Order: sequence, then C-alpha cells, then structure tokens
Amino acid sequence: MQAVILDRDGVINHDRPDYVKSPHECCPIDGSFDAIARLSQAGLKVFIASNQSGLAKKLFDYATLFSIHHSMAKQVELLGGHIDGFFFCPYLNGPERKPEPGLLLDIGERANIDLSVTPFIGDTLKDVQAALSAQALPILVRTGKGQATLHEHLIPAQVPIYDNLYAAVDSLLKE
Amino acid sequence: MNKDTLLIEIGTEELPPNAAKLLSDSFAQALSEQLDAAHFEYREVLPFVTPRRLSVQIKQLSAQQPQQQVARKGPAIKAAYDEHGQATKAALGFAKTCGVEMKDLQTQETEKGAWLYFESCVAGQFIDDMLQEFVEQSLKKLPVPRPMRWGASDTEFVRPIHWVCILYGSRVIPCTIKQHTANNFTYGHRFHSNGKISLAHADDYVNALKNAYVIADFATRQSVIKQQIEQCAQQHDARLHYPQSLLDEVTNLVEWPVAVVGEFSQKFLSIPKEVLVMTMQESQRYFPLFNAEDNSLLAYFITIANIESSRPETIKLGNERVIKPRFEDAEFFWERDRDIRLSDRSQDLNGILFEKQLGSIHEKSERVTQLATQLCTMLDINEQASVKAAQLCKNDLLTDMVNEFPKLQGTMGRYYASHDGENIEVCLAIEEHYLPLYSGGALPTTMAGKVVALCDRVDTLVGIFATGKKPTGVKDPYALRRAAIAIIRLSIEADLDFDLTQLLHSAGELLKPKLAVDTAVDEVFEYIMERMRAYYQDQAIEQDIFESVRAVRPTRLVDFNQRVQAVRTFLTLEESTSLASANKRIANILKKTHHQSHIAIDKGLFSQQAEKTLYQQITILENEIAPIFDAGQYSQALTTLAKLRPSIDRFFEEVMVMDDDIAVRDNRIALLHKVNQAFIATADISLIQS
Repeated sequence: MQAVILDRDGVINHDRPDYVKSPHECCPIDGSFDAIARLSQAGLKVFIASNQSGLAKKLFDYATLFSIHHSMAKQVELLGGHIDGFFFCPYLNGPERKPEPGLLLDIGERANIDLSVTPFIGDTLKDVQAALSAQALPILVRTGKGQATLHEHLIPAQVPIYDNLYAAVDSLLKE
Repeated sequence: MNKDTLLIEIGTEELPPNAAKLLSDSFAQALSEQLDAAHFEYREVLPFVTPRRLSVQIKQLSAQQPQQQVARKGPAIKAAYDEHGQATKAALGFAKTCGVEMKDLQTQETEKGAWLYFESCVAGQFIDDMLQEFVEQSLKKLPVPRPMRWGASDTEFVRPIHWVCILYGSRVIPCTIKQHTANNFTYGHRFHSNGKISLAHADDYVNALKNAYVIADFATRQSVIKQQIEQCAQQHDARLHYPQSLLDEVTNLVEWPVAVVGEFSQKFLSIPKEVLVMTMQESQRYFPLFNAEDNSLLAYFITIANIESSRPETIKLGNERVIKPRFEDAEFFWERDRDIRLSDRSQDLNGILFEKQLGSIHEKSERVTQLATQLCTMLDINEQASVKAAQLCKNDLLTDMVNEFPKLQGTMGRYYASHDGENIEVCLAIEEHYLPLYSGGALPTTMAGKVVALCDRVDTLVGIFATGKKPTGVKDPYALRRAAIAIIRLSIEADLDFDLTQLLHSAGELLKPKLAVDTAVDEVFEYIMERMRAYYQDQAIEQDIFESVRAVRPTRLVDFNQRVQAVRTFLTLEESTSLASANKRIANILKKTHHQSHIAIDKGLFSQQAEKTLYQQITILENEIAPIFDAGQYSQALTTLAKLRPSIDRFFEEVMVMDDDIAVRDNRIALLHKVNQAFIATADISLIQS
C-alpha cells in the first residue's frame, strides 16, 4: 500500500443536501483530519477524489472550491499531515464522475500508484462502484450518507465497513 | 569508515569494436552517478574495456553510506496540546510514529509558527545491499541500439555474457546480474591463457590480467600499439599516416597486441593510392606505410595481431594471402574502367535515378552544365573548364571502382579524366565539386571546381524544393542544409560575386520541363538566408547586424557580407549609437506618416537653421558617397555618413517635424526620408539594438 484515496463530502467533512458551497459550510467530521495526519505520518500518500457537480450547476466557482481545498490542507498540516492531491469531477456526467472509475484511474496514472493495493474510502454506493470498476479496494464509512447507503443497497460482502474515517484508518494502520 | 576497491567485470563475447569504449565509459559514468546519488564516497573511477570484457574499478569506495540526519515534521505546537495542556491525539500519534516519548520530541520555529519535530541519525546502508540495484540501473543506461538474446533465456545485452566478477576488497558481493551470479574469477586471453583466474583482491585485477596476456586498460593498450607501429615504421624507414578512428577501432580488436609487418607486390602500386589505402584501412584495418621523403605509398602494411605467435611468419603470410585478391580486384576494376573514356559514359547516366520527378543523373548533369555556363557568364570567366567538368563530374559513378568503393566518388573521376587526357583543372574540379565535405571542411581550389560545386547544389536545392520535400530539423535526406551552407561559403569565402536570385531563377527555368517550379525559387532563397543567419551566429556576429542588412534584401552574397562587415565597423564608431537611435526615430516617423517619396524638397520652406544645415549636409555627403558606394565600399560610406550626427541631433532638438502647416510638415518628412535613404542604401541601421 503506497497511498489511500478518500471521498470528501460525508467522509472528511459533513455533507449537505444543498452542496458545500464555501469554506464556511465545510465542517470537519470528528477525527477526520487526525486520521489523515496519521496516514501521512505512516508514509502513505493521501488523495481526495470527489464529485463536484456544483461547479457545473454554477452553485460555486473554482476559486471557492480551491479555497475549501486550501483550508482543508492547512488544517491537516497543523496536525502534521499532508494532502497530496485533490482530484474532482466538475461535470454533471462523464467517465470521471463516480460511479465511473475515470477519476480513480487518473490518480493511479498521475501518482504512479498500484490501485489494486489502494483503498478508496467513501460513503455512498457510487464510491464503492467506482472503486470496484477501477480495481481499487473499496471501504465504506457510516458517516455522511453511509448509514443510508447500507439501508438502501446491498453492499458486496468483501467491502469493509467502519463507523468513520478515523476508525477506518486505525484499522488500516494496524495491518 | 571502511574503504576498499570495488571491481565489477562483465565478461562477454567479442564486443563491437566501435561501440566498446563508449559502452565502458557510459557504464562507469552511470555507476558513479548511482554512487553519488546515494552519497557513497570514493576516490576515483577507472573504466576498462577489452573485446571480451566491460569493467570498472572504483578506488577507495566507502563500505557504507554516511549517517543520515532524518527530520520528521509533526503537528503544529498549537495543535499538539489541548486546553488542559495534555498532548492531543495528533501529537501522541506523531511521537508513536517516531518511536519515542513526547518528551523526546523537539520544537522547530518556522515563519508559520512552531512545529513539533524529531531529528534522528539513521545509519547508512552497506554497499553489499545496494550494489545489485546500482549495477542493474547502470546497465539500463548503456547506449545499446539493438540488444541481443542468446541461448534459451530472454535476457538482453549487447553481446552474450559469459561471466560476472564483483569484488569489494577481497570478498565477493552477492549479486545476480542478467542471470549470472557474481563471482571472484575472471578469464585471461582466449588463447594464451587457460581456465579461470581467481582474484584474491579487487586491486589485483590489472596485474592478474596482464599475466594472462590481457592489457585491460584501453589507453595503455593503445599506446602499446602506437609504439609498436612506430617501431615498425622506423625499421622500414617509413612514415605513418592514419586516422585516429582506425587506431581506436584496432585497440578494441585485440587484448594482447602484436604488430606484424606484411608486404604486397610492387605492381599494385600503380593502382591509385586512395584505393589501396581505403582497402587496407577500411576493409582490413591495416596501417599503410609511406615513403618518408615523398609520402608515396610503400608496398608494406602493418597488421595488429591478437597473438604473440611463436611463428609470426604464419600471420604475415596469412594476411598477405588475404590482401592479394583484394588488390587484384582493385587492379581489375582499375584496368577495366579505363577501357571506356569517361566522356563516353554520359548516356549511361540515364540509368541512375536522381529523383522520381527530377529525372536521371544524366538529366541533372545536363542542367548543371547549362547552369555552369550561365554562372561563368555572370562571373565573367572562361567557361570551358567548368563546362567540361560539369559534363564529366558524375560519370565515375558508373565505374566498377566507385561501385566497389562509393567513398571514392570524385577521386576516381579525377584519375579517369586524367587518364583520358582531360585538362588538369577539369580533373581536379571533378574531385573537388563535392567539397566542402563537412562543416568547416576545405573548399575547392580550382575555379571550375567552385563553379560546379555551386551549380550542382543549386540544382539540387531548387529541384527538391520544387518537389515539395522541404527539409526539416530532423529529416533532410538530400542534405539540403549542408548544400545551402556550402553555397554560402563558396560565395563568400571563395569570393564568387554573382546574383544568387538570378542563378536560382535560371535553375528553376531549367527544371520547368520536368515539373512546376512555382514558389520554389523564392523558398530556396529564404532558406539560404536562414542559413546565413546561422552562419553569422556561428561567427559571433550579433543578430541585429544580420537583420539590418537582410532588411535591404541584397541578392549577392558577397555583397551581403561586405555590408555586414561595414555595419560591424560602423558600430565601433562612437557616433553609431546615437545614429542608430536617430534612424529608429526617423523610421517611426516615416512609418506613421506614410510618406510619399516622390514629393520633392522645397528649400524655400525651410525656416530654421537646424533644418537648413541638415539639408545642406546631406546633399554634400550624398555626392561624396556616391562614387564610394558604387565601388562597394560600404564601410567608408557609413563612416562618412557618421558625420551627420551633430546635425541630426540638432535637428531633433530644435525642429518640430509635425508642423501645423502641411506643406512645411511634408517638406521636413521628405528631408528625413532623404537622410534615411542615405543610410538604408547600405543597411537598415534602425534595426540595431543599443
């Protein structure tokens, strides 16, 4: 394992039905930044892969999105961690929009990592599907839409489920 | 710290002689780069190469990497402790990762604040553990254009590998290189030595091999060969002349050089010297011997054997037996070729295609001949020798000798033309029309040679451009770039003054029966101009000087060059800077006002002294320069015009060009136009950067 990929909304920060449209609306889930810091300290690279169709719907612009990224990066840095890349899909559909695997495959290529040993931690069925299509290792957390996902869909048995990002990372690092 | 010698030797099947040294040097270079990147220290790197091995010795290599300071950055201090002063999860996690307690952590101040921090000393790794990777990576960097496989495996290398020897001091470093396990033995000479040679220590390498009849070091082996051949030459009262490339190649054909002198029949000396030398050097790798006084070829040769034979006469006779039929072939060609007069071969040139749309070499030859006639007229010289040379210059391509030795094209033409009784200038021109052969190479010495050299290239350039096959930076199969440079050098350095556009145009006309020429003539001229730019760049002449002359579009290269030199001289004058600016100013004004050049100057409209003086001066100087200018003395013309500087400066200080009265304004602009014209006749000085 050289890296870990994370979904953003619902895994790192609290999700909102009306989209996270500013740094102000982006509130971290408890322990998520600590979790990322632990991953960095363990020598793993951390990437974020998220759908951001709010851009296509003109609910916020790129400058705002980047300021959200910047704020996240700074908070993680304060804890001794590092986010190695923010990957996002700004479109309403297409091969990069989860559940399509395009975004994850792009990370694999650019960061030169082997996806087959790389966990992708998400909170929705789309995340699980994207990971399976890209032949990465899906992990589901119950935060964000996670609990609802478990109620509504049948998740394949091999997908590990954790309460939140911190718990998932705890388990990953124990191995 | 332990330091010792590292030896890496890869034993192979005979390496290609021209590539071997490069491979050895690249291997040593790549290895030292790997060591440097990992901070291993060493005193020196010694590459070795023989036909059967690539090796490198690294002296005083440290056994271990130096200790490394590893610094890890943790959470910021303000995130490290909670409001009760207890360590946070982030801080505890960091301490745990570093394998220490909170109290062992340090603090680092940065511009962003205070950070938790931990520095430790990590012991370096040993060479034993890293060498495998270093060698593999270095081998990957070797310039092997076509690696080969052998036996049943799919390992690839330049030649099959027979053994690998890797010693650090006296112990073997366990490695597997290309499926060979590293060991502590090597092999000596193929014939003079038997079986494995165990090496007790890496430092024993050179001597152990020497005892086994192998001189491992390239430079040593080369100087042994050099000494031997010089001795042979002395013994025969002869002199050596050979290219360094031959010596380099021969050095990599042997492990234990032994020079042997052979001889051949004197009768072969009637064959052209160039043929004999080429056969000996290129086909056989021999060193020819020459008479010490007149440099004529002697009927001897030196071959470098790889054996210290107890019966060297066998080697001598064996080689003589090989060279004899080769010389007999050459003799046969020499006799047979001379049965036909060079001039009688012209029709047969129709059998050699020059280019699909441009026709045969014969057709090219005829075009070049016509072009040569025209060029001679332009140069006002007698055309006889040039025309004859143009007619004959390609005919030797049909001879058996040139067919056997393509590099002797032109040279054989000279010999055969001479045999036919042609004029000596014609004979030399046939050989010389190929010059210059390479960048900076010698130019033809005869006028006919220069003329044909020019016309042949002009025909090729215009022809190929007309077919649409313009050369690019990476693709230039007809060597048009070299052809253009040759035209420039032949014009400027051989001082041939003719109108290039006129000659190009004539070439175009001659090509019209074969294909549409359209814009090819203009394109070729532009192409040559670009090569002119590079020509001056190579001489460290500033680009703006080239541009200033280019702007006035001279079409005679000798003239172009004279202007360039004139501008260079002008720029050494103190006045030149302000005159360049003044010209820029004038150029800007003229551009903005779309000046009508036919408007005559009316002296009566001048009111101020400054403009009257300027007008007076320019008129005088114009008359002064006219004869100088006609004689092509651009330098003097510009120097003379430099006298205008004070009046031009004064004009701009005191006179308002854009007067409200249109007639006055137009008059002043006309005056400026007059000044501008005087300079522009030589070059556009306004393009000179300060």
